[in-house]
Amino acid sequence: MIISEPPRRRFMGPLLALIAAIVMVGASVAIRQLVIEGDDDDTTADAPSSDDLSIVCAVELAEVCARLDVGITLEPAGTTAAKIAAGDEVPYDAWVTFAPMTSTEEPAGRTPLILAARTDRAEVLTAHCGGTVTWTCIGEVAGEPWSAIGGEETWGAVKPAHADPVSSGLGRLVLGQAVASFLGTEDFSLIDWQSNDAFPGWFQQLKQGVPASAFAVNADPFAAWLRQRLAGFDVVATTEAQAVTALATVAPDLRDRVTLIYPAPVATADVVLAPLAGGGGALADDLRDALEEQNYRVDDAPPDGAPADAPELPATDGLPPTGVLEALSQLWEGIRA
Amino acid sequence: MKRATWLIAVAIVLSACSGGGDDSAESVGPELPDPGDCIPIDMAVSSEKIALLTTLAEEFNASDEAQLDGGDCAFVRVQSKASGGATTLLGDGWPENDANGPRPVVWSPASSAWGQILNQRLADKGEEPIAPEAEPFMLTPLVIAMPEPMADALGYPETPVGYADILRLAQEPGGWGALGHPEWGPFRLGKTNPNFSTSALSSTIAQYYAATDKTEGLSLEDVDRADVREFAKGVESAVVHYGDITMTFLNNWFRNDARGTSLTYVSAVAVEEKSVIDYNKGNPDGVLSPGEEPREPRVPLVAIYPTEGTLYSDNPFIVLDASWVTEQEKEAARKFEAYVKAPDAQERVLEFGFRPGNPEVAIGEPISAQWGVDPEQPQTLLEVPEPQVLTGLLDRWQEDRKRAQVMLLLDVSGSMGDPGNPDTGETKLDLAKVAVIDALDEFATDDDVGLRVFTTNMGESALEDWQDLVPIEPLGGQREEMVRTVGNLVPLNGTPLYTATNDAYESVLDQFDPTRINAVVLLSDGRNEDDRNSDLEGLINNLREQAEGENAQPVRVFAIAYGDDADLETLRRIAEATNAQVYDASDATTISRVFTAVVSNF
Repeated sequence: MIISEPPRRRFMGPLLALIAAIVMVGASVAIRQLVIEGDDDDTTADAPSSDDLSIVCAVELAEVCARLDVGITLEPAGTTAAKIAAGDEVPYDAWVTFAPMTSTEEPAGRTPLILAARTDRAEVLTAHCGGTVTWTCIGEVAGEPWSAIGGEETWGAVKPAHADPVSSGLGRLVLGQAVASFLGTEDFSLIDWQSNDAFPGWFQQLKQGVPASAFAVNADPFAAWLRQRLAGFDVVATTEAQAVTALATVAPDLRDRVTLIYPAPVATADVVLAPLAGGGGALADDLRDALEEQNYRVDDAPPDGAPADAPELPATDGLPPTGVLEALSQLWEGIRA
Repeated sequence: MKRATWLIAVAIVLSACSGGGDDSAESVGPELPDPGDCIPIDMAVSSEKIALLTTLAEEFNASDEAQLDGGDCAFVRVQSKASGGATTLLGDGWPENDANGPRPVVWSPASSAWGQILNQRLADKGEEPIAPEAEPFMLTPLVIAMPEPMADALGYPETPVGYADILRLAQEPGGWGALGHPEWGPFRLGKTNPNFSTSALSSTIAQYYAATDKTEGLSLEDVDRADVREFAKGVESAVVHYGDITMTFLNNWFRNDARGTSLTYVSAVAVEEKSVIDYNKGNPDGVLSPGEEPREPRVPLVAIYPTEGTLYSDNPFIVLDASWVTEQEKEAARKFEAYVKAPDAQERVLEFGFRPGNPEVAIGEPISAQWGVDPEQPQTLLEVPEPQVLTGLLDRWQEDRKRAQVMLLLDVSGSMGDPGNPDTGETKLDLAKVAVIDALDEFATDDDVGLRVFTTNMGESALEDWQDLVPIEPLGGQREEMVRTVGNLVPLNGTPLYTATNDAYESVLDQFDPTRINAVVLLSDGRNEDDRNSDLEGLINNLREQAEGENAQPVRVFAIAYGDDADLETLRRIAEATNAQVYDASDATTISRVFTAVVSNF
């Protein structure tokens, strides 16, 4: 496989990257402080009942939040994070989102980041990747003809899909998982990808191999993929919870053509309840219940409907820290521009 | 209006338009039902789904789902609007009148691409978008419909077929003879006008993608590449004519099938998958008129899913962010949206030949090989380009499309002096003049356009039946003369319809240009009034004989039945004998809209 080296200037230069990292860390601190302050407030004796609460919820978690008896505002996690970082008013009691967006709370529930694939494509991809599908391998074949890796000519190009890392919390986690796969560690930073000569080509090939329709505002590529009867994409990043929940209700002819893949190494989307303006703690139990109903793991056991070989959860989420995810999303956006 | 009456009215309207189909031209809607004390929720939908949505709306209106907070109730009223036409209306703020119908709360064009085009056009005017992103509630992919023997000759489906193959066939000097079938003549492509028709818009997008070897990210730079423009022109060169609705092709195909000539009429047409199913079920326009019984064709069609990829007509449910839409109307619209996405309604979607947008509903009959389609396809989807690329692509298509050689044949009999619009006092001829002059803008400057008028006892000898007023030459050099000449027309004598039609046909045939669409646009408000020639059957036979066969030089006669007294049935026979279409302008005030639809064929 030939991976062309893109012009270096399309990536952040070292100085710019350093500045960006400082900004990201600053934003992370702002989020942390706001969350901590909110948490302090929430410990007061007069914590409101759940009926009076309003929360802002990451759009990917809409189904979970809908099960909570509170006022709900859906918003892309990236948007909420940006407001908090900028010091804008965030008039909600709590924020239900994925852990790396706040990095302050114990998760209320967890779910592995997985890939859903057409079964025929999954077989070819698994064989090509040496028996284990990784994001490193997916990035190497993204945009290449399926016929070049053992698939059918009529399948066209290999089209992986994931949500937009800039606007979508889930998209950001997936990108973190992908880069962790390529660099061989979740504990990486800007310096690691900038000093890796192979990284720019791999990263750009992955970016350009994902159909842009996956990145529409509020787009849910997995739901769109099911609506389109598996056309449009070949391998779609989602979560075990979303996939198991959706596949439980889709038509059998559709379900039978889908294979769920747990890319190695396993990473997880951890859902947290981050108190913001003095409330939210009262929701903790309700949130756990809602997550369990939506097939998140609250006691580590795979949900009914998960593949028999579904792995155990790792001790950590397997993802880089918040600031690094932010920087990665900026890098991604830079390529798009 | 009762349901049966409502559906019959819809069927009659669509039938008069010679078909439904997404791309149904205009949709003069039938009278809308009375909402009673409920809040009317007006919905404009592309015409291929009018029967389905009307049925679902009636069921919704009668259900508890239509109850709103506060004791109000919603009453959904559906009107049919071609996607391209609705895009234009919405861009203009949807002027409310009898022809346009009420401003919609919900808009469901055949493809979400129209929503992007609308927003881009509004942005170009400095206005806010009104079509937010919306989820589809049913799908049907664009396909290339081809008679089964022709698909077999190409080796499909074992051998993938795409637009590159279409181009190769179109440029093959021996036509189908290169594949051992000289009796089928040249490769002829049926394709509608992308300014009107969703299938044409989608196929034009697909053509440009095929030319660039991309499946996403089509840019204006791509579209402007010389090799891409040549590819597009090559495909367009095989087009027999354009038009506003795919049903023109499907109905003509079906008539030719009955006569055993379907293989020489047209070789392939870009349509939606649903249309292939309808055709193969014996219902080519998808709407059964009263008394019409479906009859399966002798030669069925096969849906070819282009190897380069295709696009879905994704039927978005768009609750408009327009100034005339209230929050309560939006809430009611959302309830109807949930209703049509529920599994019960989605089963109905499938019955109508669409693929359900709700994945909980399995794809089954009629999406099957029995009806010429493949539920496993499409394997590759093309991305809808960015809005500015879409509008740019339409501009390029206007430049790259096949050129036309057209004779405008206008009736100037005495009855054209009768009132056409009682409100303004304008005569039928007055209205027709405006329509013709306005429609000139739809032609390219290098389209060859001429003007002939007909009535009895005209010319220098006062014995002739017609007179050429403007020769058939490039319009750019004679537009002003055309406008001036049309403006000076006056109503005269009788209507020598048969002689004038035959002579016009022969004149264009005499100067037939295979690189152009050759056609006569016939506008008449009356019946043949010519004692010297009353041989309609002779005329029809002559037209049909010359239109059929592998070596035919097709000259199409697009006929407009104008005013209450026009002989619609005769004009229909004339048009269909040349594999063209009749247009109904019995309401003379609609002539501008109808004339524009006619000119969309070029």
